[in-house]
Amino acid sequence: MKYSFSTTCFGSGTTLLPAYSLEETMRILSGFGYEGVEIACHSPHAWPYYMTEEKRALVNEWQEKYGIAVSAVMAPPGGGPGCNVASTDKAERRFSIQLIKDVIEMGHQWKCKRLAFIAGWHRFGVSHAEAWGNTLNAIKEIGAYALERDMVICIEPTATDSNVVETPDDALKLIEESGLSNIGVMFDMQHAFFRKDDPVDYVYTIGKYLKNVHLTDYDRLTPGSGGADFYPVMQALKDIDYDGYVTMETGFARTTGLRSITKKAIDFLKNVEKSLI
Amino acid sequence: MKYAFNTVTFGGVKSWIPSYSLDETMRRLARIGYDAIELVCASPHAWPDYLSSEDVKKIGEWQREYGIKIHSLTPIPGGRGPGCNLATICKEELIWSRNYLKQLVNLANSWEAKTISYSPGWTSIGSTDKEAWEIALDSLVDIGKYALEKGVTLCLEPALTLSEVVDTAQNVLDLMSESGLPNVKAMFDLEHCFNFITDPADYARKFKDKLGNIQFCDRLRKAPGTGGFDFYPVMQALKDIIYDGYITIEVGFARDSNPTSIARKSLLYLREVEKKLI
Repeated sequence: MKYSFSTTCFGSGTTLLPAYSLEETMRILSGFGYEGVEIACHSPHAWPYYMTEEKRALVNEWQEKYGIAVSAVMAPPGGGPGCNVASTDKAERRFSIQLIKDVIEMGHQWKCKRLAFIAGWHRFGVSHAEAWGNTLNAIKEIGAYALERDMVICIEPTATDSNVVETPDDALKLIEESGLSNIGVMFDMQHAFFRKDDPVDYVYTIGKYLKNVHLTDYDRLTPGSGGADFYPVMQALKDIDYDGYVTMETGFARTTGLRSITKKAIDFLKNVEKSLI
Repeated sequence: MKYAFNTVTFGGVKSWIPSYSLDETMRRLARIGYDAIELVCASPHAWPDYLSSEDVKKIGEWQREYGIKIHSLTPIPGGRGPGCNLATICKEELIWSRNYLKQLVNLANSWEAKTISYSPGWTSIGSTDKEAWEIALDSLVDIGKYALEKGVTLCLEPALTLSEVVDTAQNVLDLMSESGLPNVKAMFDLEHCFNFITDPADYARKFKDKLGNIQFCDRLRKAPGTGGFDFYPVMQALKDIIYDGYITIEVGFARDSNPTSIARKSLLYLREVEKKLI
């Protein structure tokens, strides 16, 4: 397995602090044996509109220097501008699509092949059908742009936080309706837990379309520290010959000891991996 | 007392849903009995770049139509986007953040809101606390001068839970003093007092006439009256210092917060406490 870690908890993703520079984050992760880093493209790490060409080039230098690849990029949803591709507000929708394209371009500069894609959400009073239509139009436009850059869009069902794409079946339906070849699916265990679904079923259901995975224990705790059994989901990944990155997305609280959770997570999962058949 | 409710609970900011239009939010809060809202200037309610001049005008009209004011505007700090760290060493982010705050000043001016409430920034790895403080002060002076021309007051929030630049009441008073501006006041949020193991009533008495806004919640961002905190002392302190601003309720950051219910319960409870003040 190839292990990656999402930068969210290193860079003001959910709490303002702790906040480490992207270089420091990549250095720490590399030191613990991670081969990849999934970059949440917001401040302070990689908001595209603050990233000069010089800063973008530095990220490539750090990949070389620390021996760690950018496994995926993500345009973060929520917060100030929203980044909601399902929005009924045309201005927000256009901004969100452009932001994701700009993230794709930046990822392309970093030789990254995966974009984690959040399908949006709708407010009270807006129908699911209308939101779905907006999301579908967005993914067609974004997908075509990504195709030219050899990048795969990974649709993430996010039942915990949203209401447009909540399950793997929703994501697969969106792929079919998009008609594009470079759209895949990813899943995050947290959202399976939220629905009281078994993440193992997600792996087999998504099958060949699985292009990225977010692992977390219950309540966003480090794998191995919250009570979830990771053996079955890791075995399922092996069974379907998953060859992408296994990305940890954990530790959303300010109290998190980042060096501690990053090391514990990879040590734990490598031990689980040894027991797979 | 005058009561306001912060729109974060209705606006998909901390959790993406539940999410209500601003029109619906103002209508519901007015019906519950709130005098005002504190408007978080983020999607889906009021991200400045998404608001046409017609949208701005409509929002002003809703105040009159529903009988509820916009008393305060707040930026949305943190990740998931451009950041808005007014103490950052990133030049691009600093320029953007100051401009964003000035956009809020313009909106406040359009809606006759008198206050912008914000936390002056946070320290990131690579900068010292002293450096962050100086940048936060420069930002305050820059935005404060602009706000002064528009008749808007800036209220600074000590945010120990979130920040490392302005953590305490004294930090706020020091930054106010160093700015030398007449339109800078203090505010505080009970949640940060809980985290600092500090009595909110002491904060109120320390700020006295410099207090321009206050955000109420019970422990763990619950509705006042549902988390175990005793609101009587801080309410009495506000009465004692003759605070005439709004009590702004900022609660319910989770998806299951049920915004209408939490808004109603909060107001009912605080009005009962108010009856007992001497």
